Amino acid sequence: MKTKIDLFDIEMAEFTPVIETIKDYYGFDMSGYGSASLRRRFIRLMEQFNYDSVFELNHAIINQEISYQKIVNYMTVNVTEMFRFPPFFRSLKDEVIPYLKTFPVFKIWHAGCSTGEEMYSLAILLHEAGILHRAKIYGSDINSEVLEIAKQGIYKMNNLKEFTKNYQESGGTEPFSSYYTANYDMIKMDPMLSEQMTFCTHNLVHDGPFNEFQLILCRNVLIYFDIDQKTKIISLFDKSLCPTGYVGLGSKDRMITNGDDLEYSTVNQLTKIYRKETIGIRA
Amino acid sequence: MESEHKIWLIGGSAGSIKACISILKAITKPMDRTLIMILHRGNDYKSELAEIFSNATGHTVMDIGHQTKLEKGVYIAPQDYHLLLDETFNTCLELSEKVNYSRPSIDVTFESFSYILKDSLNVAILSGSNADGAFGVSKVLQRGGRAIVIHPEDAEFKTMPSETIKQNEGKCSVLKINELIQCIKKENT
Repeated sequence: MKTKIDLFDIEMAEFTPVIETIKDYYGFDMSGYGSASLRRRFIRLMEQFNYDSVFELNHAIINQEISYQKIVNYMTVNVTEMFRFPPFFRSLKDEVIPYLKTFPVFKIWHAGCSTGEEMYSLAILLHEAGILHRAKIYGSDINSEVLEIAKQGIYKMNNLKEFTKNYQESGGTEPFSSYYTANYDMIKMDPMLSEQMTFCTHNLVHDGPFNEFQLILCRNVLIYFDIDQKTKIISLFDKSLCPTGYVGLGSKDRMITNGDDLEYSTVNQLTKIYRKETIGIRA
Repeated sequence: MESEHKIWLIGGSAGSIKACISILKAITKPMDRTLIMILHRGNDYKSELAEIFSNATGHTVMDIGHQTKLEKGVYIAPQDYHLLLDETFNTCLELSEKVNYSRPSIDVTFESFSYILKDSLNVAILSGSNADGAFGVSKVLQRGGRAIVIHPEDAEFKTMPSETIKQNEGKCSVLKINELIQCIKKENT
């Protein structure tokens, strides 16, 4: 494992030309990504493809020896799970779903949904509240490959025990096994859950709003961006959210609302759920 | 690093909690440096480790957050995230793949902190039953930092210290837990 040159000795600044190349070739701009994490991602990419120097890596990207898809796969984080951080989903169930119930039809955007586990989690809660058929759920990610997995709703069985436990802790009322069929070490989520889902590639850095939502979820995504980029993304969410709509973030994310007219109230500090308050109608 | 105070990272897995408690108990309050514990813990329950440490030691122990400036005090790496340090000396949490079946991984944190802090970083390895930390220690040493490994005889689970010593033969100090406490204390005056 530890042979040849040590990739960990490469200085972060050396990767700047590679960031430029990727931006020039594919419009995939990582300059607003947090440097500590970005450095790890580059090292991982080089390890995977056995490159010994940044020059080699840059050369390979210029000559398209590594596909854009592979770059996206290795440079972004796609780790997720069902009902990750159960207090969050319990909070959605208790504090946000009653609000969604008041709409004849409502729209949800899951930004950075990755392989979709949390979308199915949300769909299960909506189903149990009897309002899934009234929902339109949009899942977006920069990575089209993970969206394919999300669409299929087929997951490895080895995390099933954890998923089941998370589901129960989130306040689920049914046996979790009623939501999937198991075969060949895999589970397939009940297609009923994905009937209201639409998937699209969307890059939070440069793509704009595409609809108006009652609820936006973006969990454990903002932590990868620097403060400027984060502020831009929050403003994108603000533009995409209906007045009085909700935003749910990851437990280590924070809502930043400096400047502008962004007014949000904290619905739940622990689970990072916020509500948009339009000035004038605030209590 | 511009910071005038030293940073200590303490890594451990199985059998490290007791050792951490003895270390913290022995250090005068308030802590006049940054001490961060990176401990493996399960993620299938909500960890109360920060409260447990606070109650047991009298120090205010906090889970370290995302984009937190390193202040003097005692911290613990949060459950189920990797802990990194960025160029502005702010912490950075990452939810990427586990490393050595662990998140937080000691290797990841030691490597990232030493990349930024170079020779002003001090690390210690306590007890555990895998080799997470051994690679991290090698990077800390290579970059001029200081690494202390608990003598395997003094560790409840020996694999982690033994492997770390083996992979960094002759380069890290191997100390008894009491000597480590003295070491941290000496610098904490």
